[in-house]
Amino acid sequence: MPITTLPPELLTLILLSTPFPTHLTASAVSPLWSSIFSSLPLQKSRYVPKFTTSGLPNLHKLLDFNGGFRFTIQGDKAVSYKFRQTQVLGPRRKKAPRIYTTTWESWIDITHHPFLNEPIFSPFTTYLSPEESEKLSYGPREYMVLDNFFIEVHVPGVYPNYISIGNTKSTNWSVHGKNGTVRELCEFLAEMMGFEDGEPYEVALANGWKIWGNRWVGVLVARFVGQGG
Amino acid sequence: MSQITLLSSDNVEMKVDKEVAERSILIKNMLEDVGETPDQAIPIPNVNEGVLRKVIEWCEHHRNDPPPPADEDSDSRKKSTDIEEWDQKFMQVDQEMLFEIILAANYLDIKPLLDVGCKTVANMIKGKSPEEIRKTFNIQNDFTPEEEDQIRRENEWAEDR
Repeated sequence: MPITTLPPELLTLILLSTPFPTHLTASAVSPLWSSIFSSLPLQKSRYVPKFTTSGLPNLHKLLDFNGGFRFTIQGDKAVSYKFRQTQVLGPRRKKAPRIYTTTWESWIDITHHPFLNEPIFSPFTTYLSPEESEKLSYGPREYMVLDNFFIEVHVPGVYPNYISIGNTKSTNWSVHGKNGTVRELCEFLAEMMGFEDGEPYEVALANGWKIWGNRWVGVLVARFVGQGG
Repeated sequence: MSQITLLSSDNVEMKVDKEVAERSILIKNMLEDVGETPDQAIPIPNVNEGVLRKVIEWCEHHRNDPPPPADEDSDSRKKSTDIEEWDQKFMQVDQEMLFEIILAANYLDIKPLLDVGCKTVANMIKGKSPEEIRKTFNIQNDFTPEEEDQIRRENEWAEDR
């Protein structure tokens, strides 16, 4: 009996066990696989859990791998998107004195991938309103419910790894105001960061936390990582 | 230790410790409904001898495992594709048997075994291109040429680095 004779609910369970980067490639296997990857349980699994000690809660996993997601801006448009696939090659020998791991990475072009049209934050959870969250004092961040996050944009050239008011534009993007799609976010950033020289610039997104007033807010940092793309 | 008898779909009887058989929630509920330990063999109509032996072997090894946490929405499943060593060896079977085990674990309601089966297949999918996945599992590429073209553009493997 081949895999194709398994009932869809069991194939769903199997695909649910695959890590996120596999979703990107395996959804192109067949129309059936593609429809399972766009079904609700699989969509839900593409978000970071509500409580997490690393990364931003409820964030789409495309954006969760720091630097693994990149897009290219030309003029004020986002023209292409890609995602880094890392793989450990070769057998890992447990009893050997040293554990060898050869890693291999490649970039998958995801410019037309349907996952880009999924919301940035999980639509499967309820969020505090800004007024409700205003009343909370800041505590351990795993108890914080993300209702709001910042986007910081680093202008290329000056202090590429250093956040300072001088070379950073920042803006708000909130779940309540607008839980846009990943593609909308990148198009918005492209407009904000756009260049007139018409050259392609590659941008990486990293995520983190920051205390703002009396609460934790999530921060997404967009950073130029190179020209061309 | 009381024993019960299971009857496979191809009419082979197998004696098992009750405790081992009760790793299957289906059998456990069945036994609870009956009350006493039945004298007659319990028919397992969907599972043949070879697969049933394999499933019982797994249940024997895991007879003392703590019960799986009550449905916490499969979150732990997603966390990792790590499989403990004994289970890895146990799952080194051909694809035919692997999918039979998954079906049987689902039918007999043995969640941890179903989990191990799914993770094993997931590991075979991980890190492969769509074409490699099709080859591994002998899946027909039944996208229309237009869809295929679209997909190719979506999934071109960009430059290796």
